[in-house]
Amino acid sequence: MDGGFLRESLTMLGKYANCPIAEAVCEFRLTSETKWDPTIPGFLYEKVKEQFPNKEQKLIQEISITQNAHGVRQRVQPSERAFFLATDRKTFMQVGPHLLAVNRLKPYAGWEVFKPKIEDAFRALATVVETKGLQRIGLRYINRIEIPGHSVNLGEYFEFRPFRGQSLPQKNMTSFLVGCILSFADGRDACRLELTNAVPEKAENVSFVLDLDYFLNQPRAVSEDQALEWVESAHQRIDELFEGCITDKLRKLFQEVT
Amino acid sequence: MPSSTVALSPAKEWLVSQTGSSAESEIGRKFDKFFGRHLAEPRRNSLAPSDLASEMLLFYTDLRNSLFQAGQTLQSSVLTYQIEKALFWLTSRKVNLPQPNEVRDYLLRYPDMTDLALSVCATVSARFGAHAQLSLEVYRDPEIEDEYLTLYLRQQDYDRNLLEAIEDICEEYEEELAERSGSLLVTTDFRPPPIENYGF
Repeated sequence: MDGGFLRESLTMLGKYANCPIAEAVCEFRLTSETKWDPTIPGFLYEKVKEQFPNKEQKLIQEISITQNAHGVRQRVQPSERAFFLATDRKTFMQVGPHLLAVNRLKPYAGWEVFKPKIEDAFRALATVVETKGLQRIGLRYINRIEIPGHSVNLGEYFEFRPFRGQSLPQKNMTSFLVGCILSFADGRDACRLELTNAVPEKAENVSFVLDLDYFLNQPRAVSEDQALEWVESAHQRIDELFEGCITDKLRKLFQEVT
Repeated sequence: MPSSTVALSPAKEWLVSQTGSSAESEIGRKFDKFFGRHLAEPRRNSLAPSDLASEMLLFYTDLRNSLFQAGQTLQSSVLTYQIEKALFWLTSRKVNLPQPNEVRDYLLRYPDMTDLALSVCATVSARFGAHAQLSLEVYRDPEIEDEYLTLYLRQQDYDRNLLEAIEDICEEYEEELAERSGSLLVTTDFRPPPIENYGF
């Protein structure tokens, strides 16, 4: 086990009556060697249309980042994405060039429900594309946390929060962003943790976004055959990290189901 | 060239450098269209347009995350994160969100409206500056099951030419809006703005 933050018998997913998950997404990025053509989304739709009957096309902004000896270069580019949505429109697939993503919006029904959707989508992709390796796999959970009160002591709710030394002002922090990248599996994987304040649902609350983005940090380090196993272990890590980020007081607000 | 265009040019240069295209590209032209028109008009008591444009673009392109993940290819497969950032940016610019969850839900249904809503709010706030209060809401017409984003512009003392100015803004975004899945209306209801949220 990594670190001392693990708690036994904790599963973020489906454990809380007042679940904070605003969105969960699992993303598979194929290597550029994989042949991709514009007919693939159509073939894929035929495979998944029973689960995802609603088909839409949307323009998405993508950012690609490359790093070389001269520095980091970013490119913002619009990209057409096919969206295949379930009847409730809360679960959907995104298919774009060399990309497959499966999303679930609030209300999140649990890993037991989300995982089969990921498996079905990935297996369907394998039937229509001859993949030549995985560039990246990512599992990301975005939690939006509402806490009653106009201001709160972050330490009462979060084990992951901004630290201010004694010579810094301790009050009147109007906005913050704290984040880090943690390395896992000897550097093969990484998880970006980020906590920031957000716009609350109600004026009398304060709101935070806790973003956990676990991803394959070394392209091609996981084969297609191992991909779903990787997703399962990524989910376990995220679960542990999430629980490591919050306190019992926040768990109480989420109304833990025993 | 209006002098204020010079102030905005770094933001444009930054944008075209990120896209790997030239300043005369489609993106460069869209940038001019978004920000060019109001730059020719003098403003008082407002944020510098270059600040607004740069700030909006930083949010729009998720630069912060990009830096976090340097060396990776960042795919924008999540919807909520971009929306949360957009709402936060709007409130930080004193755009009122009386029902933030309604706006959230709308942008989740029409995610390609997020960047456009930011652009419109940035343009309107830059153009009207301290003389207006903005409120972004979702209008629902139950009779025909229609819904769309509405940006209400309210003033303490209403300008005589306000409707004309609003019409100009709508015209600027008409073409862009036609390509999006949702809809956005800029209008006024001639109500006085809430005092606590008045001005930028």
